[in-house]
Amino acid sequence: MSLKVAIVVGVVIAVLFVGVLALGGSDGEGSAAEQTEQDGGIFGRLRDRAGDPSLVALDAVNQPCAENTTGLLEFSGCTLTVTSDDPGIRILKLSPVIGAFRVEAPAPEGDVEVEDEFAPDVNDPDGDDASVAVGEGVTEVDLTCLGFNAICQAQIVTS
Amino acid sequence: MNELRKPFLLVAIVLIALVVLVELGSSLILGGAPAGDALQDQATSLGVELGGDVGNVEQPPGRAITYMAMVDGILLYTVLLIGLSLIIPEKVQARAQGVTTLIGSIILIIVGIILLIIAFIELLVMVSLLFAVPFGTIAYLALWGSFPRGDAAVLLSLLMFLKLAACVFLVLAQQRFLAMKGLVLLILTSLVCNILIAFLHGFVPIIVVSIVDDIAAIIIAIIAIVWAIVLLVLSIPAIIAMLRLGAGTDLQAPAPAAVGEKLAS
Repeated sequence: MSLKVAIVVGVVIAVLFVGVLALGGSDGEGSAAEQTEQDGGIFGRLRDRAGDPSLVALDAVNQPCAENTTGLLEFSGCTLTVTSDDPGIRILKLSPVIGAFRVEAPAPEGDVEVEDEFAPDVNDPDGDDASVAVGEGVTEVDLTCLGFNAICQAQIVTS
Repeated sequence: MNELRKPFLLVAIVLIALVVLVELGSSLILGGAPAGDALQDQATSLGVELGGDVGNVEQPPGRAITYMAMVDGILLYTVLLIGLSLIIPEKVQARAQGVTTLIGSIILIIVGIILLIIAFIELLVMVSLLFAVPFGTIAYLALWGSFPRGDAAVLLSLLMFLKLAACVFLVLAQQRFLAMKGLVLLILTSLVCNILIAFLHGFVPIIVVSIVDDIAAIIIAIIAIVWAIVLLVLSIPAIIAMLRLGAGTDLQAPAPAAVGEKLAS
């Protein structure tokens, strides 16, 4: 490589780097809601490759409010205890059957508590399932039925 | 004109050593700033409420810049070999180089594979969490959702400056370094890695920068492993030659071709 070529290559690399820095960062903060709704693109493909996290098995959930052995829960207030030896992420999926309820659970791998509300959707039975991500160890998931003296039902989905 | 200007070579070696040190320490410089407010905003956009201590949430340090130390470590080793040839007798150096390169390349391959696996597993966890709405998404956002893109850009600019300055001093030390294809390729690889990280950091929204930073780390780990395999292959003939010459006891015998020379040329 001659000195002139080396100088040209050096200048091109420097300009490319400055250009990348100058043009980059224009996408701003971004929104988690938008990112998780994207099906295509690199993240969609990565999600396909990674696969959806496995659902928590029934026997891994301590269910003090279980109505029967099939995972149907009946509660005004109930705390589920999920135990997982898997270092990965698993999903405790709860399908609302009767009544709207609030789910409170710690986000995996951190100290943050998350709360969200779910209710049965008559038009789309699979539409508003509560997907609670649980990490390794013991996770306590609090369920509270919304409404005075109300009793809710939810089904633990295993497949 | 053909003489090697030692002070310039020494400055180039020091600059490349600085590059490696800055890269190794980058995880201490980057991240750690509070990111609770950003998490709260993202949670609001997802329609969920947060409890617990959001004040503990911090920016992540990222992986890609630290991983670049593997590639630049090879560059430092190559330039050091050139520098050592000025101090150590050629025959001794040629024998020592074969063994040190063989051991060093094997260690680098093992370390590279381990770091590659760690980055790959972390990438899968990140993607799984991000798409497990809302509880997993919040966990992702708390751990990786606010990458210090500005600080990383400053650090990458510093590294780019140090690398380009090292290139200038190498050429000032001896223009014939430009004819060493291996050395030029290694330097270009290092510069391209720098641009790749800056590009990936800059062209996605900030909440997913950690994911693309992990992808960059994986690519850099693969590049480092490939270079380590090249080093390993180049060290084998030197070792065979050394064994043929009587396990390196006869220092008067002709020296086997130095690995550094082969890698550089």
